[in-house]
Amino acid sequence: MASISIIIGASAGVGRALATILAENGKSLLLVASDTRDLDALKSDITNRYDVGVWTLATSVLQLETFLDDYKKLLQRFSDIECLAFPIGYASEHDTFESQADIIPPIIAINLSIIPEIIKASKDKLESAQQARIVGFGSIAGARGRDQNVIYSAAKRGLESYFESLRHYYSDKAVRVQFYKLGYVDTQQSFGKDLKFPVIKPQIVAQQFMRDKNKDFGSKYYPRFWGLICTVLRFLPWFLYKKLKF
Amino acid sequence: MKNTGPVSTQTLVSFDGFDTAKVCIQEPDRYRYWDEQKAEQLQISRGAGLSYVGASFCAKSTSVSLRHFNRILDFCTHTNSVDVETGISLQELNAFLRSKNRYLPIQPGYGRITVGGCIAANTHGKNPCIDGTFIDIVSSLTLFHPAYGMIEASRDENEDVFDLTCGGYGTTGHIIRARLKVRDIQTQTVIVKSHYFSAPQKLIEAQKEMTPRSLFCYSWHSMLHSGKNFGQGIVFEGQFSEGSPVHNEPKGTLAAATLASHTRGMLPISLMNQMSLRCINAYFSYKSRRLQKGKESSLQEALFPIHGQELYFKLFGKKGFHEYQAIIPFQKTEEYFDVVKFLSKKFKIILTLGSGKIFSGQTQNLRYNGKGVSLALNLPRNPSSLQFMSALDAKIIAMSGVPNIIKDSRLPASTVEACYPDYHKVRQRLISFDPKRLFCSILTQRLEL
Repeated sequence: MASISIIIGASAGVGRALATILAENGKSLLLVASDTRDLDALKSDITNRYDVGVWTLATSVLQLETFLDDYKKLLQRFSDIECLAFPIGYASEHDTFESQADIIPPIIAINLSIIPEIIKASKDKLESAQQARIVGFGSIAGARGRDQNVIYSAAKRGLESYFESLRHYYSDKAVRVQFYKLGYVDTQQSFGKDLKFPVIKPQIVAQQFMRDKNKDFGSKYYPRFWGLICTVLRFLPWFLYKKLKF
Repeated sequence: MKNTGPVSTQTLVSFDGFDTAKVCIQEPDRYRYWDEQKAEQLQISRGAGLSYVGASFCAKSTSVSLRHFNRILDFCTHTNSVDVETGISLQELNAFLRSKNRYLPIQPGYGRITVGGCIAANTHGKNPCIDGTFIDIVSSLTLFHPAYGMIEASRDENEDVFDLTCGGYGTTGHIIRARLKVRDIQTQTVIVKSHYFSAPQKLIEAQKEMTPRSLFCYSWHSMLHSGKNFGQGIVFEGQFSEGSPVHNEPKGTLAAATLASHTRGMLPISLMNQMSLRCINAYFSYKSRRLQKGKESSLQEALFPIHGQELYFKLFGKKGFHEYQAIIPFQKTEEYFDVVKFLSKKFKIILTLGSGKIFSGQTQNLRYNGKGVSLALNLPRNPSSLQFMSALDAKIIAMSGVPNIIKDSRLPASTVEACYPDYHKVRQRLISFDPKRLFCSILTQRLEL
């Protein structure tokens, strides 16, 4: 039985980039996403290029009970979890106060509530590792509430709080907890939008992820310049902030 | 009805600078995108967007980029084949194949071009006489059409779709996956030799003699000189070097592929004129003559000769250039060079490049193939260049030549109709396969497909 690195939300964007870079570094992988076609293609690509083991779990995380059953069964194959990363996310154009669409439950579930459940299911295997790493991905959208991406921003801010708590819990154990608050990344979420700030490739995020593997930084903005922008936004007086439309 | 998924609006331009349009682009990154496609949406596939012509966009179509569908799905040493998603670039695929001591025997000379683009345009490589064209290394493909879903096509299954798709310029659907035949690398090193000839006919005769024994063989012609030296130049032949172990890769890395259609034309004016061309030709001749005794080159450099030479295309500036590439029957080549010399004098055209390869295939469907010499001419775009090209059209038709559809942004449908015997049959078959004609680009509109 071997150590495993797990990516929840592996099929595209940052998840796919993480899978590739971990495989380049010789890590065996468990890839989780909703569509088996995407996972099969990614698995084939990785196993053809790199000499690593790859397992996949194609299921909707919204069917939580079924997912957790399958997930726990799969975990039995591995001695421990070396890395558990959550690049998973879901946003919707209907995530506004005007929309009647029923998008609140999936946005909250995918961006926030399933993550503690998965970490709970992974706890024993994480704590068996010599050194484990749990990595969450938030967003600059969580810096301050606004009238766009309403539930998404709330969920990401909630996730950041959860990861702070997780880091506190694991502070004296061999589990490192890291949280990235990502700026604009070249994925479907940013595609086609008129963005005023640079968009980075998922591969750049993945490279930073690898550089940070032994660092105990807690939480950080990536790219770093977003830290300044989000700090300004957070402390902007209300009479100015309410005029911003973004 | 529009397809679901985010849309970007961009102004796209063909590589030669001629075709331009403001288009909607989508870049799906998951297979569920294909499940959600609407059957009424006009669309066309887009690879690297390096086609000389507007083959991957038009104002009324959504360009669907396959750049995220670029994975290697399988590699089989038993069948010597590789399965890929067709958004993969040739350079990336060859880097993988190199690790398996394999390579693609047929491919154009620029690494950013995608496999899908090669299939759609049925590109040729550096020795089409021996190796054939891209269809000859495609074993099967998976095509998506909104009316049919995913279609598996090969010479044994949905063979009509396979035949229409290879060299079909994207008119049958999105080519998602393909199985390609690969070849063993004999050595990682290629010996490249140059041979100078003072007359174009001598170059062609030499090429005909060298081609059967070479890994690649092509000619470069200087079109600057008037008089009997017009078209003089150099034949380059390459062969795997003997005695060099497969795993010994020569030092030096392949130059990065930096060309893109939207950056090629950044210079506001063309710097191609008699003076600059003399300097370029002199430099190229000097470099090439140093290969007379043979020089070792990596296989990668031999497969992608345009890498590092991108400046040539940029010198044409924003207005861009034309390429007229056509297969001339062997018995007509001397006459053709005379015609080109005459017309270039008549219209005061600077021909910046002439390059030739030997072909020995058949012209089927709209695939660029035939028996003769394929000669490519480059010229800067200006008011008289269009007249020159039109005059060439008439000569090509008279000589029973075959012009390359993927190289000439102004090639009229009437010329294609005259030179491609299957033109009307292809139109009929496309209408029969896709009555709504959903797949549409500037190229297909011009050719009335």
